[in-house]
Amino acid sequence: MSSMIIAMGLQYRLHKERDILNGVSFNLNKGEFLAVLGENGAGKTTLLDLLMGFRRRTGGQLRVMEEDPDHDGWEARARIGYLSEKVDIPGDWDGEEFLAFHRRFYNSYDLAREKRLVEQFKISYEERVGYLSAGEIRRLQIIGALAATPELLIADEITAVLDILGRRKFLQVLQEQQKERGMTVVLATNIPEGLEAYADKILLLNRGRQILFSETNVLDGRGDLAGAVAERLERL
Amino acid sequence: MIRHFLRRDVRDCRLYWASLLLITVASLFAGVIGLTILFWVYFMFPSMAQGYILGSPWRTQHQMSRHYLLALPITHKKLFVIQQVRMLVFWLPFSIFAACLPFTILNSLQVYGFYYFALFVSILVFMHSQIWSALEMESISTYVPKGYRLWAYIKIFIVVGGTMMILGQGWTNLLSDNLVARGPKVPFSEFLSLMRLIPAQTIFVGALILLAFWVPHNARRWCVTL
Repeated sequence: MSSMIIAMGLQYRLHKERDILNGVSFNLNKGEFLAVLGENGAGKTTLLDLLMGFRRRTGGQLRVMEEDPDHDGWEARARIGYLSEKVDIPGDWDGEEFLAFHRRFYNSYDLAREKRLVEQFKISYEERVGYLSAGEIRRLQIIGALAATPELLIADEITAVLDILGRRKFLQVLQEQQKERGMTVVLATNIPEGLEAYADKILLLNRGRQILFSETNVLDGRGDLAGAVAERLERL
Repeated sequence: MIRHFLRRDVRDCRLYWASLLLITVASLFAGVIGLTILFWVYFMFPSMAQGYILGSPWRTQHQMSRHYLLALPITHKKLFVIQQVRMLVFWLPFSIFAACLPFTILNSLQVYGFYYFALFVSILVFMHSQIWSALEMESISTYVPKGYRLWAYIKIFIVVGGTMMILGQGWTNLLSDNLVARGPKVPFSEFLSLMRLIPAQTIFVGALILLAFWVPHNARRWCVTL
């Protein structure tokens, strides 16, 4: 099975004295679903920023789709979908304007898939972004990212503002695309509840340090991933 | 790709452009005062688009976020060039206005052969000063510890203010000869002659050399892979 992400001893140090990430190592194969978990300030967003090349690592090795994200790997970015709470769309645009702007960048963009996703996520093309709720804006971004048929989806805390149905729908769609075309998923979240049904692997971080990287079922012995994660974190 | 961005900019900023057109038409009927107003309006106009184009790392509904732009499948080098072209579009009114001055008010194109080089360099320096200060403001809001923030603000003030002052001196040196000699005696003419210690050519060539370092510095800060 080919590796999509290889991280070895990953480090990100800020202002010399403060380690945001230190010694993070993991390997993610094509078609796998990795849930990155940890308390606030654990370094989840920083890790995803490093994967996307938004920050330059200060130590360790990192390969994402066989490329070093520190280099300007635009060809790899064409195959990566990125979702983040940090991504925002101008409020004056409507849904169609955003998707029209977005689809122009991706040769792999699938318009039929976009229409299916618009129906699944119940988003209107005509509604102005400024009038949408935070959760609806995330749904719009999800549609744009998934319609570009990415091989790797990197999602940073995207589920926090989705409602129960939206979150469930999002995870189901990810699983469908994972099975249908082998999409790899990295999802950083503060909400592990219900992830045991979707995630193949768990990366647990605490204050920038890796606590655990394992198959989900190793941690989730009693079918309660959230409980097992909380237990692990409380023991620290 | 660049047309895709520019088309979007035209649609998003049409209100700005329409307002500028109205001010331009109104100023044309106001004589010399109108031209002075136009000069400053055109000079300030690009700062309206600065935040919208550069994107923001924090949540706002008024502009595209930087993370979205950087995640797009475009080489970051090309993306940064696109960003600069988008910003330069907003400098067009000022550029055209300033480029016409030697034919109109100054009425001496031969004397100001160096004028267009200085104009080109000045606009690029102003633009990169905008990019730099926007990135510094972000840094202050996100990373700089509380005790250092005041110094960080002072640094912005010194760099941006200093840049404006030095370029202003360059322009004074370039233009003062004729304006001061031809015009009536003004109270600051002695001061202007003191400022002539550094030739305008030195200032603008120096500014061009500064740009050779400033542009890559801003590019690396805006998208870390460069």
